Amino acid sequence: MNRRQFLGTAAAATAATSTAAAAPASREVDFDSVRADFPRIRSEAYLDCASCHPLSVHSVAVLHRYVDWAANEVGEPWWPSWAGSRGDAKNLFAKLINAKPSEIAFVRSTIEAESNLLNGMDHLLAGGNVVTNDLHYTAALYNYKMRQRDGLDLRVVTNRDWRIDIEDMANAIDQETKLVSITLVSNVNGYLSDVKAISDLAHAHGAYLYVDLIQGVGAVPVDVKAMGIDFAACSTYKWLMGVKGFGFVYIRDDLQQTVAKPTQHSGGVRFNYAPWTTKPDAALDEISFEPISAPSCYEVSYPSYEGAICAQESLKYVHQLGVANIRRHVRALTDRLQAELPALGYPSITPKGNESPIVVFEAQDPTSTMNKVRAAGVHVAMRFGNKMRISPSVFSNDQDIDRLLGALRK
Amino acid sequence: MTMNRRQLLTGTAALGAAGIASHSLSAAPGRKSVASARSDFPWAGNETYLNCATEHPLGLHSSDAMREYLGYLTNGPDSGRAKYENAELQERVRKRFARLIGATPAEIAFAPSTQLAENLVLDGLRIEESGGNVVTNDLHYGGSLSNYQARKERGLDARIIKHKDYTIDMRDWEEAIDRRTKLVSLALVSNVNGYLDDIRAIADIAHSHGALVFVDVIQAAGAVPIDVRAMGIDLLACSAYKWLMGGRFGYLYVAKELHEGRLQPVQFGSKGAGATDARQYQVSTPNHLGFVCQHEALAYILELGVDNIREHVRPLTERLRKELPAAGCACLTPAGTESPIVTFLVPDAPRARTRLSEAGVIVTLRDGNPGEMRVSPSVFNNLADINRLIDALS
Repeated sequence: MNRRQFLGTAAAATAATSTAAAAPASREVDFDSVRADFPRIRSEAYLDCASCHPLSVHSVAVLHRYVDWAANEVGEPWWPSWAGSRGDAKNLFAKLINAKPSEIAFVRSTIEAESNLLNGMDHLLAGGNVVTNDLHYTAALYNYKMRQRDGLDLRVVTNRDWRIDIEDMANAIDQETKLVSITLVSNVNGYLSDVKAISDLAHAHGAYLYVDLIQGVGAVPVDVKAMGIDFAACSTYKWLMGVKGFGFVYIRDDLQQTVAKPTQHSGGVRFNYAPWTTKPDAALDEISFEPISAPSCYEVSYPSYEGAICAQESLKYVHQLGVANIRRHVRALTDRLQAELPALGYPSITPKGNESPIVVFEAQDPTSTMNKVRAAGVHVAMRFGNKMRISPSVFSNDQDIDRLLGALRK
Repeated sequence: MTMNRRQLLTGTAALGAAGIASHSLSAAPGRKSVASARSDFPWAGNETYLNCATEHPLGLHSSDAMREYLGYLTNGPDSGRAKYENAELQERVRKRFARLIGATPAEIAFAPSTQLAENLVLDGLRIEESGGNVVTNDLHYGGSLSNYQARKERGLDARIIKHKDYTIDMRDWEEAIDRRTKLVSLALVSNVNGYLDDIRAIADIAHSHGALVFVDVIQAAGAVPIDVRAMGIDLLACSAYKWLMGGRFGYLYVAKELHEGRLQPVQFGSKGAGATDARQYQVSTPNHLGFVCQHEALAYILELGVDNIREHVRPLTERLRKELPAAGCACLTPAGTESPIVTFLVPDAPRARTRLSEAGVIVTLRDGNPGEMRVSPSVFNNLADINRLIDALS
């Protein structure tokens, strides 16, 4: 069986299991059939996508293809054959957030992207301040705290009753503010930031806005242009249904090379002397650096192929379902939880009407709660001691919610 | 090139939801050896692959583990995923890599790639701010040289020594390194021609001037014995997809003397939070599929033994050096070089490409007359593979 036949077979196998992936974006999606794409739900009611989203059969199929390839026939033209996936993944992500592909670079993680952006803005941040809030991702706050130790003027706005008051952000942002850094959806309680309002504030003071998208993109609509986002980043292993160690950074095109300088110095080198060249050019230096153009200049080394091909497949899947459809489907589930859990003794710390797939409730007895939930074959997260985080996705349904509620009634 | 039925089934069976049987985490130690290595790499039966300096095939030990991990990501249960995603496993991998290079686990951080790690070193030593210089040579990796050249154009005093007849003259190191040198940076084994630098001698020169030594070991680790203490290496990095046998994953070694301030972390994330050892230089969630691959591959390499791997590959490259000049191919790798990479100048490279392709032989070949041909066999190759290459070019 040759390479082409093998690929044909693999493609056919993917097509045969395809269900929702065949549905056009504009149509009503049959979410019952989506369940067949996520075998993870056969063993448990999995309601913890904010930690790690299960892989679909489509994504895992291409990953198995990758492993087969790498174990069985690594060899040219192996390398070029993956290049298309990288481009497709960028295009699909750009489309998802209404950016241009030329504004997207690969990263290994959200935090790597945010670190590199901050390092590339050193020239700007010196003497200015950065405003963030305490519903931003903990590791991101750590990043800023370490920089504060090194002299950065950092302002961390404190949440009021688990939401960020826009007035507090307005009070913290001033003419010296260079960057406002927030998360789109908080990993703590699912709080959805009012990005546009914060962007307007930042821009009115000449500051830029960075948004951590990891807990939102794929599950809530993102439009970087309409929302006024200057920089953004995410890994793919949550709502983009990908694997760990791969993600994207968005850098508004007019800020590339100027406001956010590349820090990784990717590029080629030209040797203009023997024996590297037989005809040295007297007009050129002996060695010259040939920089890679934006946005690839924000990348260092090749990204993981497995991350790129998985992202390509799962982004296609997200597009085919449609983020608006996904949101509608999940909203009904989280609305039920918001309506019913407080009456069972679990007060919510997620604001009412919050448009994200994450809802969080406080448990009086976290250990007993988790025992009950686990015994019922339900998977949720218990974090920060007593905060039960529930994060359903496209494959979740009312029976999953019933199972959780039933367990908590015991 | 054929893919047999069993391999195809292995691939497609996993597409379904069924659990995937694997022995990967419980592989019995002491059973693998260089003598039987060929059967651990199914790819060796499909092509004459002599291109491990570009990318090493995965062994079955790694691909089985990766498939099992993917199974858990897709099917659950979480206890399965936790089997692969836990701190104990990460410690084990750090230990294995530490053992491979003669370091302690506390000196090892995970890094996504060699270049990213080299950047962490260059930025973390604050060389530009200190007014110091960096000395390297033009047999270092092109991407790194591009990095140094870019920094040079921004003001860094970067000194790039030119090779002489594809070796670096020790006197050139002595001349370039001075009191203001903060870092000497080189590839232990050159990706260009496999040149293996006399690292101990270079380290002695560097240290006598108070400079640190960074070594890119991507073309060495797993194929060539490394002992950071005996060799005087202060900092070291590599990706794993070459001689470490797979995974978009990598390592950074930082000598413990540098942990308390001499090398500053420049990226900050949850994975390094609060750490005082080398993990302070570790940023974010690693490519976990690559990690799983490495967990197995490192165990495999340690079990075979780098010395044994070296013994196995040496006669293969020596045979090429002996036979290919008769076919008109001059060798660009110095005689006696103890690395798995040999590079030749091949007359009429396009014609050679056709003949190699007909013979099912994979090498790195640059077009030209002559064109450079890099041959890089590994533990699964044998003399028959080498003869096939020689026959194709004769």
